[in-house]
Amino acid sequence: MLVMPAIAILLALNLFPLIYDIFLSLVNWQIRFAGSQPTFAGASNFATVVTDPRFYNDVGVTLALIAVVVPVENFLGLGLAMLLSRKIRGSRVIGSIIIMPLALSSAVAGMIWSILLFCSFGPVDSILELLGIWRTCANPLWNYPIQSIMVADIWQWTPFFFLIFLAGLSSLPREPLEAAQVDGASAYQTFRHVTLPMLAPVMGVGVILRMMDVFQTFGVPYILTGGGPGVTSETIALYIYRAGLGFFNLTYAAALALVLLVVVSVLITLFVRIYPGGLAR
Amino acid sequence: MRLWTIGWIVAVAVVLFFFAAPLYWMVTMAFKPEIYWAFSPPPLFPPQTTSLNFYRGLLVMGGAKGILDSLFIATSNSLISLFFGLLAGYGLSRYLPRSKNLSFFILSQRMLPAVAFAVPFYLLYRSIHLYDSYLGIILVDLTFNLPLAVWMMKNFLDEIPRELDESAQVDGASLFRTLRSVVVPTALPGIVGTGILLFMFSWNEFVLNLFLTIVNVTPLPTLIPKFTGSHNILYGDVSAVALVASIPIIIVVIALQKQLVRALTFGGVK
Amino acid sequence: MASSSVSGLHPATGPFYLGGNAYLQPFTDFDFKGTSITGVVDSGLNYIPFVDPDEGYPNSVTSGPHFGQNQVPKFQDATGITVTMDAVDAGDTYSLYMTDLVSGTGKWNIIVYFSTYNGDIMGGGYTYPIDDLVAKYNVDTSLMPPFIKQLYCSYAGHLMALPYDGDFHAYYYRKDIFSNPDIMSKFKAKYGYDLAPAQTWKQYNDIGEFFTGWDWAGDGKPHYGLVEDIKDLGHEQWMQRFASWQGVYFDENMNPQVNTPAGISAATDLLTAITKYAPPGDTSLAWEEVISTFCNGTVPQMVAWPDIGPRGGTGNYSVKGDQIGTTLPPGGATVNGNLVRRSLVSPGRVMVISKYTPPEKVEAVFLLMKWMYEVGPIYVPTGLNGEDPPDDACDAPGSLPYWSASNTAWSAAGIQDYIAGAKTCLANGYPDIYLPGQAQYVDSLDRHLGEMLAGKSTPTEAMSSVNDDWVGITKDIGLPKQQALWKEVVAAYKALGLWPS
Repeated sequence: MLVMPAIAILLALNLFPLIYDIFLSLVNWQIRFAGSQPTFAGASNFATVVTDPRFYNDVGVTLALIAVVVPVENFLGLGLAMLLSRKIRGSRVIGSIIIMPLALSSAVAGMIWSILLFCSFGPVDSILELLGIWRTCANPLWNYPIQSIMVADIWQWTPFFFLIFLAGLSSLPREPLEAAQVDGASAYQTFRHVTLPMLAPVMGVGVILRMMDVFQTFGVPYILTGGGPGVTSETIALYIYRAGLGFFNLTYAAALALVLLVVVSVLITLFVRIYPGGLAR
Repeated sequence: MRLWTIGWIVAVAVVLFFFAAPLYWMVTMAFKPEIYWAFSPPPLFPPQTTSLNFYRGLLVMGGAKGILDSLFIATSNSLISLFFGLLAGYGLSRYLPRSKNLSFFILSQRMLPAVAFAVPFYLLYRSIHLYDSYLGIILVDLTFNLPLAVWMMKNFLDEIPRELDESAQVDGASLFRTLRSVVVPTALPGIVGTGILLFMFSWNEFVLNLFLTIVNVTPLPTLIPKFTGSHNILYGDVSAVALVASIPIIIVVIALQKQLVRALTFGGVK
Repeated sequence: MASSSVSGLHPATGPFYLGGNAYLQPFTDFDFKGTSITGVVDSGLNYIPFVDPDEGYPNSVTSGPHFGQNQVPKFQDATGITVTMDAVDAGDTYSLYMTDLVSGTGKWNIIVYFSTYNGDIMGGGYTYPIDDLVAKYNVDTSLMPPFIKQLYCSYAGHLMALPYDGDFHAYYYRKDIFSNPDIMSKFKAKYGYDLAPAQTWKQYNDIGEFFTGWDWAGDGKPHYGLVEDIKDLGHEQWMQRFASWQGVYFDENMNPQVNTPAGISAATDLLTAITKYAPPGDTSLAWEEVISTFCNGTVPQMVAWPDIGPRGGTGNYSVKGDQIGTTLPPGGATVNGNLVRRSLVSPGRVMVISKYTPPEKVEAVFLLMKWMYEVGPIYVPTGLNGEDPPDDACDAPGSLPYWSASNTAWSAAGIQDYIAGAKTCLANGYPDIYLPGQAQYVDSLDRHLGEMLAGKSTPTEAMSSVNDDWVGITKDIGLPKQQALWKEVVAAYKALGLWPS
């Protein structure tokens, strides 16, 4: 059948790592020592995860990122889309500028922001100094690491929501909007009670996709702050990478990954349930 | 009224500045000679321009290869995902029309965090010699692109009335022929848009690239950290590479804006 | 195989620097023609001595026909052995090398790695002991300082490596500023003792305080008292202080010893220095920027790796080689009336033979090591080849002309001064944590020290957290194994007099 190949590939590619992760997380295996064999460890790796303050720190960082970044990108993108769907002069050019950050690889975006925010000769610092807002060398990457990551992420992904809403807005049926105007509704009322509910499904899909991605965000924190200072801006994905490749503690990395998986699945399922109005398809 | 409009204009200008200024900085950095990198405060326009950053970044530090590797991986992966996604989407759309749960299950595979796959694939690839290979990364990227492709294709194909296929089949066309001459051309905007989206997700993917490639295959996420040497950071070089990497993508995204926007309705809205 | 007829002469004092082709004889005496070997080293400046990449790299090591870069082609010509050297990004070296060794792939025969991996690579049993080879091929190790020979290049009583790069920590200061009468009198008036290169960390911080916040250089720019590299390997700045406070990483039973007066004093000294007397943004500066902060005159003193002197020697910065004084880092503890002064030697690089090298190739690989050690450029750092002397051979009479030729903004006296400082540092060398999992132990240090420097914890809290982390890490890797390996390391400490009594 037509569907079989795709499902077969997916199962092979997705099931295998899950099973291997489960295996790894249940053993003790010092891979760094040649010839060492795995020994059954039961749930001890998970016990370590659950009592690991660094894990909770990272979950907190990741959740903080999501809590700020997703709504901001969503509403900023919505606002821009609404503005530009009105076919004002130059909207095509403006739209093109807005979507440029999205076209960059996350490695590139991270690099650009690390140059911008760099203390000794980054322009951001100089501009803020000029405007009198900040003392010399605020060192944003060291003093405000999470905020720096947020700014870079918002910069790169707002265009994503912008495009989604542009699409959504352009395909809204006209009648309800016209009816509302005939009824004398103000712009705000029209937006809140007519447009927004119609956009809700599209918004939901965008928010879920973005939430899933931010949960495992790695590139921007890695390049901007490396998780520092200390672990104040370390995301879960960074920790998994460090534990796996940095420390060769592959069993712990697997345990962390599984816990992350469970957390993400639960939260996303909850979100889908409580999202008002359900989602498109 | 006028104050309100001015307020809006200022707000839009600020937002535009926010999006455009970093790009401007990347462009100027790419042309700035090394002596100006550490100037404080940094000059807005480079007092001199140089092409050394491009030469060094692209040819000596491997920037050109990095860009080509990323391009190759993202393109291959998108095409493969599109191919299987189209087949599966068609199957779901035409033969399993009430399979909302199945298609959502397929999409939910995308929920799995890529980093959860990193360690198993790392170990597996090392033993079957797929570590640091193009095939390895292309396969791994399927884990998140294929579900999305299937789901989006199903939604787009749902919009194409069955009568179209049926009329083709009445004329004696085989399944494959139907697809090729009827379905695909009609759904083409959606397909192209989906392809761009898949390309972007693969192009952006970071952690799996870092885990599974190192020397032979150097996509941008693996390559760019190398510009942070043990002695210094080659700002100009990395900006030059970033610039060259970004221009074709930006051109494509802007030119095919319409299709991309269409795709981002996720086939959901007519 | 015939034994070399030229014996007992260190090349730096022997044939190579005396000119002619006599230095080639030890290599041509042996017949390995047609053997091919592979190797790996981290890319960038440290790759240049092996194989000269194209002109894109800064490359001004030009003195003499056989000096400096491009050793591999010369070695190939002399011996007939084919060498393929891979270059790997420094940040990837650990995972790449470990993957290769742990999986048994054994792609590389000679591995040049950061000595911080000694615990993982040597302790992990992946290297070929070279005691016999050193004897057979007459490698003169008499110019290796005891620390280098017995700790840096050895493990469990066997010599495993030859040094390739020695990153000792030194104290650098501006001779001209420190001898300025006006400044000297101001300092004495404020602190009650003469301004001199800091001998203790207290003096280091005093000097830092004195020079922060006013324009002692008369150039209208802001000035500060010191600068240190915190961003890359910042934990080493703590370790440097820890060593001088007579700290040891673990006691003989593998209990961490960081939550001790030595560890807390080191953390406190570091906190004061960086938060009060370093330029703002010091914590984000990359190594090049730290170098230019000193070499462009913003600060009058610093504690850092060996590059500083030769950078002054290049003449590319406003501060020239002769203005820079080089000596041992400040001391901490006083034992029996003697101030303890140490120099942390880390990371640096060593060359080893992978245990997966086929037996018939081992000696060919060793010949390459011998060449790079004896004929290669490790004795004479220039500002641009990134090499730091690991060895007293840098002082050989034969090498002096090369120093001068490569460092044009440095007088012979200035060079001698630097070399003397380098040798003193190497003579008082102190190691990194030579245990498997070193990366995890220092990651904990980096983390908690970073938080401390950002004002989020006190030194005591930071050291306590490190202590707890280290207990967990040791347990994770396996306490018995770590204990067994640490015993070997402690034995070397004791033989060198580094273990507190």
